[in-house]
This record gives sequence, C-alpha cells and structure tokens, in this order.
Amino acid sequence: MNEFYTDMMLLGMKPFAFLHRVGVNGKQSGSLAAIHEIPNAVTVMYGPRGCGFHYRNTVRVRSGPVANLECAGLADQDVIFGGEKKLRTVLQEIDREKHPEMIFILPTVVSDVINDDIYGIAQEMQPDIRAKLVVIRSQVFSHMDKSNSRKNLKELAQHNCRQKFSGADYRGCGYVEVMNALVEQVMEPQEKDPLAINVETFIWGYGGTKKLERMKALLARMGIRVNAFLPAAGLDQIRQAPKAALNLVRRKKWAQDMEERFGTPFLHIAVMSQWHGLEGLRELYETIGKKLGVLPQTQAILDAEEKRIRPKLAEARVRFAGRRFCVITNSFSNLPDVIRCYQHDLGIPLCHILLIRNPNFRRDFAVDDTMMEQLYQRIRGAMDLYGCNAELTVDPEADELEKVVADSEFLICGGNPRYACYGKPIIPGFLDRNVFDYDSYAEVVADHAAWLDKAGMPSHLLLNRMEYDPVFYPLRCDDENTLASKELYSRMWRLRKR
Amino acid sequence: MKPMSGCALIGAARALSGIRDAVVLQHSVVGCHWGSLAESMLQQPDNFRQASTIVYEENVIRGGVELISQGLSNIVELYPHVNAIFVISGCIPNMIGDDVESAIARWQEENPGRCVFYISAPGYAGHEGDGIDRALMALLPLMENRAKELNKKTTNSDNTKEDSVMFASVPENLTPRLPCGEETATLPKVNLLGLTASDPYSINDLKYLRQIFAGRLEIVCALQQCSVEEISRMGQVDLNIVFGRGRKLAEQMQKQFDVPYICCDYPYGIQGMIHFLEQMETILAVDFSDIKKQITVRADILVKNSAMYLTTLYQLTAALVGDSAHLSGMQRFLQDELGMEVMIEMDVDIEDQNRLEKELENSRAVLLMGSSYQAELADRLSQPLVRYIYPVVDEVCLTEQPIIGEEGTAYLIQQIVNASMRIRYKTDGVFHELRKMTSNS
Repeated sequence: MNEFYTDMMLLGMKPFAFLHRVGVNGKQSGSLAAIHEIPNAVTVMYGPRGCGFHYRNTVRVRSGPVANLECAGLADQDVIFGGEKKLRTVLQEIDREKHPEMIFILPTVVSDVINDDIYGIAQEMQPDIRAKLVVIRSQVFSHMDKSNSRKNLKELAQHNCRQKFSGADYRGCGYVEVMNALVEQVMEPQEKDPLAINVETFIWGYGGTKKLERMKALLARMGIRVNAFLPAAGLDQIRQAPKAALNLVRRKKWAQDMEERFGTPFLHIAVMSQWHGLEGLRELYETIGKKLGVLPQTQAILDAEEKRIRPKLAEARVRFAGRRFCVITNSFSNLPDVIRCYQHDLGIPLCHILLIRNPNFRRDFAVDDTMMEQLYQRIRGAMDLYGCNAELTVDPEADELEKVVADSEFLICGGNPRYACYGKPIIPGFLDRNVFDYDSYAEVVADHAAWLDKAGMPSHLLLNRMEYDPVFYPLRCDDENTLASKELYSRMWRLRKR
Repeated sequence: MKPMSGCALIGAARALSGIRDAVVLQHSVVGCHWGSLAESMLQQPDNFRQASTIVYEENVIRGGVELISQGLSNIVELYPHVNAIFVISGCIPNMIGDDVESAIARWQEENPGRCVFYISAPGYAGHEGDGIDRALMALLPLMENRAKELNKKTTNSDNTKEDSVMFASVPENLTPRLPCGEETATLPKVNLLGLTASDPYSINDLKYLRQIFAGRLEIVCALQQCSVEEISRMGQVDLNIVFGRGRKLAEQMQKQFDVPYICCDYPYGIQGMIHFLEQMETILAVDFSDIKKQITVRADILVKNSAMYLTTLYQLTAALVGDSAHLSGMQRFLQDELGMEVMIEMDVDIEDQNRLEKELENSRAVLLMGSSYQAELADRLSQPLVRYIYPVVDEVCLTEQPIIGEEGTAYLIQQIVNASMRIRYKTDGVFHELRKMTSNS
C-alpha cells in the first residue's frame, strides 16, 4: 500500500480540515497525538468526563478514536475539594490492571484552575507504581499561544526568500508540552554517540513513515545512526535519547530544553518546503554531516546520489519545458517557496500565478502596510531569483481568471478542486511531497511529469455542480451558516489576540 | 474511568444542534467547541451554527462576561435569519463565577427583540443526558410566550406561570413574527422528544415518520430538526412522544400546558413500529391500519430476502451499548424480533467502557452494537460492531436510509451481516494458534 496516497485518503476522509475553519482543537489533542506514538502508554485525562470522552476523537490519528485514554471524571465535589483522591485511585487501577510501561497525566483547564499539585502527587506515588508516571505541565491555558501565527508571519515577512525560517516555538502546544515532559522527566544523561541522531516523528506530511525510513537508510550510508525516533519510541529508548549527538526536529521548543539539559544541539526543519529539491537535500545532509564532523563522507554520498538521479530529473525537465503552467494559491507566505519548488527545483515553467487572498488576511494576521510590502517583496524576490517570468495576478475578477486559465495548459492549485470547472488538467498539490532521499525525489518528479500525459479532463464531475469557497475550502459558497460560523469564530479568536 | 458519553455541555450542544434557525454560543474554552462539533458533524455536515467565546487564561483572572456581549453582537450581525441564540456555559465560567445571565440581560436591554437563552452546563456537573435535559428545559420560555399570546387572544387574560428562574427573558416581540393559525388544523398534533441531530439516522428517521404520519398525525416539533417557530408551538399539541430523553421537559409541559406525554421505545423493527403506531391509535384515536398492513407485507419480503441470515442471527449472543433514547428499543428488537441473546446491556451515560471491556472479555457475546467508540475494542476482540448510536465518527450515511420501521429492519440486518462477514478471522489458518504453541515449545 502506498503510504502517501493512503494517508491522503484516510486523512481526507476525516472532517478536521473542515472543522479547522470553524474552530481549533484544545491543546490536549496535541498531547494525545504525541502520546499516541508511544507504545504501551496510557493517558489519564485529569478533568471532567467530557474531556475524557471527546478528546478520544480529536487527535491526528488515521484510524478511529484512541483507545488508551482514561479519565479521572472530575465532578462538582472535586472541583471544590480537589481531585487528588480520584487521581490516586485511577493511577493505581491502571497500573494494576493494564500494566502500562508509562502513564501520562494530562491536565485540563479544570485541573489547571483548581491547581492540584499533580506533579507532587505523581512523585509521591511513583515508588508504589510500576509504570513510569509522567506529568504534563500546562505552559499556557487551553490552547497554544494565541499570537503564534501572527508572530510567525511577522518573522517570515522579514526574511528574504532564501533564508530558512527559524521561528515557531509553539509555546503551549500540547504536543510540545509532552515532548518537554519527556525531556524533563524521562530522559537520563548518557554517554554521547558522536554519530547518532534523534529524529522527531511529527508532521512530516503524508507518507511520513516512508520518508523517515528512507532518510534513515541514507544517513546509514553516511555512517550516521538514528538513535531514536521521538516520540515514537518505548520507555528505554526515550531514556537513552540523550545518547544522540544531534536532534533533527520539527518543533524546536523541546529541542532547546534538551540542548540545555543534555547538551544535544538540534537542527530545526521549521518549513519542510524550504528543504526541497536537490539543493534542499544537500543543505540538510551537509548540515547534519557538518554538525557531526563527517562532512566529507556525507558529501561523497550526496555527490553520488545526485549524479545517479540527475538524468531522470533532466528527462522530466525536457518534458516540462515549453508547456504553460498556472499556479493558483491563497498563501502569501508560502508563495516564494512554491515558486522555487516548481520553477527552480522541478523546472516547471510558470506562466501565471494567481494569488487569491483571504479577504480578511490583513485583519486576521495584523498585517500593516510595511509588512504587506515585505510579503510582496519576498514574492518578487523569489521570481527574480528563480527566473520566474510568470504574470502575477492578485484577486482576479471572474473574467480575468478565465483569461488566465485559458492562457494556461495546466493548473496547479493545491487541494481546492473548484478550478476543475475550467476543464484544464489539474496537477495535484505538490508541496506536501517533500521527501528526504534521492530516489523519492526522482519519483515525485516523475509523478509530476506523468501528469502531462493524462488524457482529457472528466466532463461530468459531480463536484463541479457546486462552488467551493475560493479561500476557505472545503466550505461551500452557498453554505451561509457555516461561513457565518467561520467568520464568527475568526472574530472571537481575534479578540483573544489583543 | 473511560466515559462512553460526554459531559453536560456536549449534551446541551447536541440537544440544540437541530434547531435550524438558532445559533449556539459556547461560553467555554476552544476544546469544548471543537470536541462537540467533531463528535457530531458527520450527521449534519453542511450546517454549522455554533461558536465559542474562547475563554482563555486572562478570563480566569478577570472574568469572561464581556465575551458574551461580543459574541452575541457578532451572531446577530453574521446570521441575519437567527431567531434564537443559546448561550451554554462550560466548566471554567462556572468555576470562576461568570454572571452569564446578567451579561445576557444587559445585552438584551441594549438589543431589544432578541431571543437569547442561557444554559449552565459545566462538564463536571453531569453527563450528556443531563445536558440534554438542561437544554430542553431552556426551551420552555419560547412555548410560554406562545401560550401567553394564545391566551390573550382567547381569554384576554394572562395566567401563564412565570417561573423561568434560570432562563433569560424572551422578548414579547418574538411571537408576532410567528405565523398564527396552524392551531386550527384538525389533525392530532404531536412533538417528538429525545432525539438530536447528531444521533445517527435521526433526520432520516424523522422523514420516514412524517411519511407514515402523513394525513393522520402532524408532527409539530421534532427536536432533531426543527425551527424556533415550531418549538414555540410545542405547547399546543395533543401529545408529547418521549423517546427516552426529554422526560423532564415533557413533565413540565404537562404541568404548564396540559400536554400529556408517553414514553416510547424508539421504534426499531417491524413489531417495534407496529406497536408504536398502535400506541398512537389508542391515545390519539387515529387509524394506521393500512400502514401497518403495508409494513407487514413488506416485512414478508424482507424476511424472504434475509432468510438465510435470520437463522444465524437467531440466538446470536450480543452486547448492546446505547443511550436512553435508543437502548430499550434496540434491545427489544434484537431479542424479540431477531431472537438474539443480549448478554450485556449498557447505558452510555451510566456505565464505563472499562467495565464493558471486562464484561465483554468474559462473556459469550460475539456481536457488539454501539458507537464508533467501541471500534477499537471490537477490533481487538475480532467482533463485528454495528454503529447505531452517537458518536459515529468513522462511518457516514449519505442516503435517506432510516433505521426504524421495516426499512430500518432490513438495513439493520444488512449491517449486522456485513459487519460479521468483514471480520478477518483465523486468516492465518484455522489452527494457527496451535501452530504457535508448538513452535513456542
């Protein structure tokens, strides 16, 4: 089974993209996503029954509700007098009956307000509990730092289009809180293995397991060993994580903590598409090689790999040349990366770029005139740098949109299928196909070239019978209530950012 | 504990999710809003009418009542057709003592003519069933207003009880917006209580019931899919039909509006539906004999189609998980019509999934009837699972398939048979376990 397409199918069937338009999940969801990766672990949600119920369905799992979620079931009395007794009872029961290797105690907003000393209780109970007790500490209330997206955009706007983004510390993200707890409460000092790294297993996109397997194989050829995939590891592996000489991470806050405690430096892959293509691959592995002191070996492997796949890439470039591609996107911030990935890395000549903005973009992200100009400057910079002669059209009227589409042979428009109505071949969204080995990259390029051979467009698509919102896909234009709910949520959320 | 149902807040949000011209404003943290939507959205994916005030850490210190007026003002601006707004407060506002009622009252003073109701539903104060009851009781002022209007017309006096202690006031100007005159229709009128829009198949079942009732009974209000206007007319019916949940509201309506009620099993199966129709015939003096005949004729066809499976289903051992709206009806159907042995029966609001797991492991039950939340357990035990109650989060129904009556009977049998056939059982060889034992030794 192809993991990329299977992930795409199964996650696509989940309603979470839709739900994200009208709300965000509580941070416990991120915590459970992390703990779900750890074998033989049980989580105790220290809150009322509703939290223990609905959070079973809100983690980023591909299959159904999570199983190993217990709940203290805090009730009226516990809110007034504290829930310590219940917590002690449930921990003892789980340890006795389920024999987990680790028990995670996950606070909720209720326990954060009543402020029971969960950590103290766990420490006191640990000698009598076989499982390792791990207490997640809330870094913020309810959901991660609510100004995070604005801070990230602001930082990104100040970067030129070649700079790697390094922000995004995601304070209070439930996932990171678990990682911090593993660093602080589970990991133990180890003698460093100079050629071992840890790789964080979090949001590597569709087909993430295969990507990391192949990364591991490539690293092995460079003489570099993966000490642990984190948090997808058992108790012993997590304990021994500090053996690694480097962490390769998607979230840096916990990695900073680990660097401070165990002296383990890290390499932060904040935006995957910034590590795309032959240049991205080389930069990634050379950085790792340099940090581990094995740059020459690393470069030798990279040279050989590049040489091996270049003919395949050249073949695809020949096929792309002379064709007319149009990129349709909503994203200001990603567009420079989009241009680089298509135009520069793949050799896909872009003749048009349609930027269809969120009408409330400036309002939602507090973008002032200076920042707006910076964002445009990044786009223009990327076009100049990567030799992109596309015509950039922002917020086109319907007739303008039609003209642009008519002037293009292929549309590249990510996940929004509304453009299928124009009858032009649609090349599926590409940016999530960031891979970390050369064979995979060659496969991705070949897959794209293969789209050029697709004969005709389906002429009776059911999805053309309705109109998806150009910005807030998958909402539909005629679903007034849901669009109102989306706007209401956005307004209430902005109130929290003052 | 591993709860099989949610908290009072989730229950309240569910109870109100079927009111098409109402918006729910949850005064709580983001997770409650997300969680309640995530559990129910597959049943009604194209009509979100819910938002959150997004209570955050600063509100724990400074209070969060100012969020109420901001939320309400945004709602009236964004949903021009809204006829009622329900504010449900969750754990944190109740813990910090937010005076939500006063905040609503102040906003209503500044925004006269708006219909806002308040339901206090902290998650620590009850299960989903409690929350559903709280939300249903909050509908009473709407009915009272209508009753007042009618009384004014007939007796020119207002003797309606004023006891809505926990409810925000209902503006008098709501009633003029409502069409009058339906009360003069001649058909007996009923309300359906107990189902929510998030109960799987509930909207299809309502369509099916309307078809069956056509020309005989008028469903004035069915809370799984209704309007504010229909709710306001609930007090003018001949009978409240209560499917498990909503009994408190029915009792109160009997006191206030002299509307009798009957508690019924949800009409699963052939006999379940016939019995249900007979109850209506007895109480409301209507005649369903031709419908019952049709059901019986179609039942004969169904029986022939499923003949080879009915023998296997007979005396099959099953475990049944359900909520108070569905449990007894399904138990009766499985036992009385399919002849199954229901070995375990659990109410999701009362029982715990850990207990279910223990009992299931030690029982003879081989079929599990419940929700998506039993899927992992069913997989682990290689048992077929039929999802028939909320939450169903791993299966959709895009057709108009009901689950009650004769059509529902065929569908349920099909679901049970298909779920059983799909189990990957002994795929490594019938005596695979023995092989393992030999190699281990």
